[in-house]
This record gives sequence, structure tokens and C-alpha cells, in this order.
Amino acid sequence: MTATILAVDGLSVSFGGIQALQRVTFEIAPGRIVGIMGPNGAGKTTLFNLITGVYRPSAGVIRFGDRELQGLPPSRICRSGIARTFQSGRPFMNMTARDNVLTGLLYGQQPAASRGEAGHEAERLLDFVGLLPRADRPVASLNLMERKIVELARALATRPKLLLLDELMAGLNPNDLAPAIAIIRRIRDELGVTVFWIEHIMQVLMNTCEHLIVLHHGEKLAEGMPQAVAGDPAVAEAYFGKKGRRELV
Amino acid sequence: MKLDPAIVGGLLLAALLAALPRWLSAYHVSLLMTVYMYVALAGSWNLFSGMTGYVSLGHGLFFGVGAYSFAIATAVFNLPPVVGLALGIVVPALLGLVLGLALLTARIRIAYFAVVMLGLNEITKTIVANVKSIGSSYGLTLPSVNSRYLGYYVLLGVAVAVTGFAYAVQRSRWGYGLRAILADEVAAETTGIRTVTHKLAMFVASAAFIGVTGAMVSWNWSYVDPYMAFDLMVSFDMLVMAMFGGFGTVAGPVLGAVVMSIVKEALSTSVPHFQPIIFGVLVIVLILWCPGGIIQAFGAARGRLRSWSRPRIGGAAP
Amino acid sequence: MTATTVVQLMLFGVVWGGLYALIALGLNLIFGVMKILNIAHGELLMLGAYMAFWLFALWQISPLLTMPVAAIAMCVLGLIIQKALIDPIIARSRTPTDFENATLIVFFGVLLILQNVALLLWTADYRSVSYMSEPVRLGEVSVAGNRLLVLAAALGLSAVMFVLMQRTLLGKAIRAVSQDRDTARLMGIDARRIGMIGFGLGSAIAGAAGVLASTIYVITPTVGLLFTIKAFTIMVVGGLGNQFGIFVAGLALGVAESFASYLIGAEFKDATGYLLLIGFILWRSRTSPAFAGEVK
Repeated sequence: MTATILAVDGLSVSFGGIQALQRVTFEIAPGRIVGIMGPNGAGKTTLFNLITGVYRPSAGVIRFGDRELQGLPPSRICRSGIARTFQSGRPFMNMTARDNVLTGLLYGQQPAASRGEAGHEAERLLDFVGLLPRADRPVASLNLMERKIVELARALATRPKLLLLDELMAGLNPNDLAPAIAIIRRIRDELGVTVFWIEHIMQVLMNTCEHLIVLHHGEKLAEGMPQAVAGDPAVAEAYFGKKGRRELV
Repeated sequence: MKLDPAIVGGLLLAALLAALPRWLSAYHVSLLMTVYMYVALAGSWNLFSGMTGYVSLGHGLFFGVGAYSFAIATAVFNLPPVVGLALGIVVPALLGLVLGLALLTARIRIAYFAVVMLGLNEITKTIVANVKSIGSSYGLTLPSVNSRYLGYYVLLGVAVAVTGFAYAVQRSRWGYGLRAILADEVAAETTGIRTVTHKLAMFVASAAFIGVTGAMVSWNWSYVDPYMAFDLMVSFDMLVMAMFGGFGTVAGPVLGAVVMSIVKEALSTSVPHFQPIIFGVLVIVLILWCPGGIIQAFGAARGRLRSWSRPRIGGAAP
Repeated sequence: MTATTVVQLMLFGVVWGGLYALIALGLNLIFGVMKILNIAHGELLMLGAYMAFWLFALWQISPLLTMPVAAIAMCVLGLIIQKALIDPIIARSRTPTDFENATLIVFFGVLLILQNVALLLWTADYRSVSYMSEPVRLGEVSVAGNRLLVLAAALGLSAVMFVLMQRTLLGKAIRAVSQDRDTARLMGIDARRIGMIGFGLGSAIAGAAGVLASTIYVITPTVGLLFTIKAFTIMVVGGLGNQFGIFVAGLALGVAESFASYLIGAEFKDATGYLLLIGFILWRSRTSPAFAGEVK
């Protein structure tokens, strides 16, 4: 049994009578790029919100390494080594890109010991994601892609072991996809961060993920290697209905 | 070690102001004391509402609680005024802690928080006005200030302390966390910032500063009653002044308080009730056209003014 | 406490409760369609009360006739406020938080302007409208006629609100916009127009409630804020958007205050409802993740 960095067991949550997640169970091995997909409303963002402590589950366990996360405040979970980005791209709009990254460095898992050290580390991170030339512009003046990268850099600044990406590609035009994928790969390859990724764009998931999870109506529908999941008739049915049982890719 | 021009300038100004009273008439001393009071109030409101984004519409509650802590200590229990002042810090701070724990530890809609604070101010006013042992609606008479410039120095001290504290916080590591909370509280939490601790600390600090201001002011007037201690205008004035100067900045509340308290003084001799109306119109104009206050208006031209409220880190030139 | 006393207290409580419920329904309507917490709501009530007073004092016009007049006047005022102040804020707000903060502060300004204009025009002297104050005997208890009138009017108007919201097309549109503005717009509903209608209607209710309040309470320029706070309490406890819950909560507050007034003293009855509010918010924000809003 390979080591597990994140294990979710029987996770359920309901909001005012609507069961958003129902006994979801899976494991993520360290060093992988794992994708999670599913039609809108399947509960993917809710899952991320539960893992990061934004919501509290009504049942189930979330195990990260050797500790249980459910019930912990989000800041504690971040300091344990899980970082996330948001679907709509939420960098701190009242700061520059550099300040966003500095904030992450000052508060994350291993807060920088001094401002000087934080400053150097910020330079490195901004360079890593390719934002150094624009580091001191207010985030409000950057375009959507750049803002999402700022948010990504900030997440990396908290020195995570596990990075939760919520639809990084949403809203990006086709030219921006390749560079974004490249950065994700480099995050796993060079920084050793495990990536757990919500995405809609099949091509991206197929090409980058080693493991895919499919959610539908709050339940886990399928799980496995991307090709296998792609060929799963149940998955096709979830996306295209009973008549559209054809291949996804 | 480089000397920060802002700190040097601030200390020089404080020293100058401290030396002033000898050369001024009683009226001008009194006017300056009013200015210092408003600098302290606006600055304290800004410490919490400006820096975290949780707009409080009833922060004057702590002014009243501070004033009454002093009043009850001196007039009812006959304790020395110094103890009264100390209680004016401690009691509001404790109240701030309790309220903060109640309101700020779980996710609360900002609108709810604002109205709860507003309501708290009103309700406390009506409760105090009905408790006979503390003077009910007639209020309490307090021992007068026997030293000539004590009030002046205390209020100047509080104003300097609030401004200095705000400056220190803004430039510190904590400042980043607060700005993050202001921008996006949920994202701040997931970035590892203990938002509860930050909010609570600023709430208690603002309560303490406002409380001691209330205590000193009521001592100065030798009098306190519920309508003056919990006057809605106290809550409103501190908000307007802080916003007029510049929401969330260090220099903003100072500027706003100085300008607006002089305006308020000028308007006080004119038609009654006129000043709140003017301030009401002003705050509406501010929100619609210049929410960042004076500092935002001059920010483009005077970039230097802004750098006061933004720390320099890692070689990034302002 | 005798049975008669209990019935008397309940009757008093229900009179006030009905009025509170009506005011809260108006506040709830505005919050639903515009997502604005109108803290100046009580000031419109105050203006309605003054209208009733002056029309009665000067020309002996019955409050029953003033009610529609005040309703229309406050509706117009509400629409002016919306057009002049809210629309610009909507246009320049980048986030919902920006919007909430901005509207709160603007309405704080409106609150103070209206209060002080009233103080300027009419001073702080207590006024009242002495209308139908002769007691009416109902079995064991006797109650002033005007209280029965207020109860009947409040219940009647609340009922009209219910019917409007549940049975008419307009009501459905209002509820749709309140629940999910974007989807409502996708369905072809003109959210802006609904917002205006909601705001105008809510303001009209405040004006009408003010006329009712003038017959059973003193009128001063500062009377509005406490009503606003109570309406807010009822809205939160009853549940945003839950008309029936709000109605019940309003009645409950009125009755609770009535008994508290008798048992602890009239001075502390306002605090009762308020402590209820704080306790409720504390409890709900911990037990209901939906209470503070969704996270995307």
C-alpha cells in the first residue's frame, strides 16, 4: 500500500436539506497530479471547501498525513500544508502581486523568519511563475490569467505539501492553457507538491493527471487512470445522458 | 539604522504640541483637546473597521462605557480619578473581548455585525438611562480636573498612541494579515492567517483606546449622562472623519479628524442640527465619489503620502 | 398573574407584535430584492408618523386617510433614495462586501440627515395622535380602540403582503429575485424594475406603519432607530425571506416585550428583544454554514 498524503473517508455534508456530498471516499498518493471532474453542481468545490476547513462536514473523516482535518479552522489546515486556489481567482486585490506572495510567506506553513528572507523568497516564487516583471503592479490592473497566477504564487508561498487547484483554466483563452499546464507540472516536478485539481477541460486532465476522480450529484462515480475513466460508460452517461454513451475524448 | 522620517516627524510634532499650551488661550487649548479627541476616536475606529473592513456603526458604545466606567468609579465608588482612567481602558477592553468573542469568531455577515453594534449602542443607552444607581437619565456629576493641562496631555497622549499603534501595525507582519482580511477574509484564512485573532486583537485595541478617550472627556466635562455618552453622533463622527481622511490608512483618520473637527466647531455656532446634516451629506458624497477619502484624492499626485501606510520590504521601491 | 392579566398582556403584545411584523416584512422585502439592509427604514416610519400628526393636528384628518398618503409619500422618497444613492453604488461596487459596506454607510448618513431635519423642523417635543383612544370592552379585558385598529390594520396589510408574494406574478418575480438574482434575470425578469418596486413597496409599508404607530406611541424625531433595530431582530430570527417566520417572530417579540414590561419594568423591554437577537445570531452562525453565505 503506497503512502497516502490525503485520505477522505465517508465524507458527507448537507446544506439546508440538500445533500451536497454523500459518503465520498478516496485516497491521494503523494507526488501525484490527481484530477477531479464532474458536471456542474457535482460537489467538487464543496469537497475542496470541506478539505480546507471552510465548511464543516456532517459526517466523515479527512486525514492528511497523520492528522484529522475536519473541524479545524482553515488557517490551521493551511499551516499543516494544504493550499488552495479559488474558482473565480481570488488574489488580494488591494495589494501588488509581490505583497500577495509576501503575505503567503509570512503566514504559511513555515513563516519566513525575517522580512529580508521573505523578500528573497518572494523574488524566487514570482520568477518561478513568470510574474517578476509585473510584481509591483496592483493586482487590480492585471488580467485574469495573471491574477490566477498571483493567487497560485500566493498559495505556493505557504509552502504546501498538497495544492488544491479549483478550475485554474476557467476563463483562460486557449493560448494560456499550455503555459498554465507547464507551471503545474513544474510545481509537482521541481517543488515536490502533490496537486489535486478540479478541471472541466478534458484535454488538460487527460494529458496531465495520473489519476482521475469523477463526482456526480455529490457521490463518487468513478476513479482510476484517465483512459479508464474516459471509457467508463457511467461517466459518459453522467455528462451526456443515457443516449450519449460515447467516448469523452 | 535608518531613521524613519514618519516617526521622526510624528515625534517632533507631538513634542511641539506638548509645548504649546503655555502660549495659547483657554479656548484654543480646549479646541485642540477636541481635535485630539477626534483623532483618537477616528483613529481607533479605523484600527478596527478601516483595517479589517468590518464597518461598525456603533463603536461609540466603547466611548460611553469608558465614560461611565470612569464616572461610576469616581462618583459612585469615590475611587481616585487615575483608577477611573485605568478602568476606562480595562472595562471597555473586556467588553470588546466578550463582544468580539461573541460576534467575530464565527462567520458573520458584515451587515449583521454593523447593525448589532448600532443596536448595542442604542440599547445600552436606554438601559443606562433607566438604572437609578448610576444616575439614570440625569447622569452623574464628576470631580473636576484640578490640574491645568492634564486633559490636554492625556488626550494628546491617546491621539499619539493610537496613531503610533496604527503605524506600527501597518508596517508589521500583522499589517499584511489585516490587509488580506480586508481584501478577502476567506482567502486570507486559507492562506494561513488566523483571522479571528487578528480581528479580535484590533477590536479590543480600538475599544480600549476609545474607552480611555471617553473616560478623559467625561472627566473634563465633570459630567456624564447617557445621551451624551452614547450619542449616535459619536459613532457617526468617528466614521465620517476616518472615511473623509482615508479609509484604512494611518494618516487618513488624523487628517480627517483635524479637518472635520474644525469644520464641526465652525458649524456649532450656526443653526442647530445643521452639522449632522452636513456630515450626513458629506459621507454620502464621499461614498459616491471618493470612497478612499482625501488620501485617495491626492494619492495619484502625492505618491509619497501613500508610502507612509505601506511598509517597504525586500527592496521594493515605493 | 390572573388570567385576565395574561389575556390583557397578550392582547397588548399582539398589537405591537403585529406592527413590528409589518415593519419587518417591509425591511425584509427591501433586503430581499436589493440585498441592502436599510438602517434608515425606521426614519421613513418616523416621517409617516409625523405626517399623521400634522394632518390630524392641522386639519383633523383621520389617520386612516393619512395611511395611504404616507405610504405613497414614503414610496416616492424611497425611490428617490434608490435612484440617487443606490444605483451609483451598484455601478461602482466591485464586490458584494464593497456594496454592503457602502450602502450601510450611506444609509447611516440618510438616517442622520432625516433625524436631524426632523429635529430642525419639528423639535424634539413629544407629539401624539389622539385618535380612537376610548376603551373598547372585550369580555373581561378592555383595550383602547386605536390599538384594535392598529392590530387590524397590521394584520390586514400583512395578509395583503402574503397574498401578493405567494399568489401574484409580481410576488413570484420578487421572490425569484430575492433568492437568485442572476437566474431570475436569465428567466427574463427585469431585476432592476423588481428592485425598484420592492424598495418602493417596502418604504410605503414603513410609512403606513408610521401612521399606525403614531396613534399608540409618542412621536419624536429619534423614534425610528429603535423600530429599525427591532425589525432587524425579527427579520433575522424569523428567517430572511421567510414571510411567515418573520410574522410569527414579530408577534413573539411583541408578546415577549409585553410580558417583560410587566415583569421587569417598561424600561428594559427594548433590551429583551435585543438580547434575543444577539443570542440568535451567535447560535445560528455556529450551527448553520449557510448563515454567512456561500463560498465559491
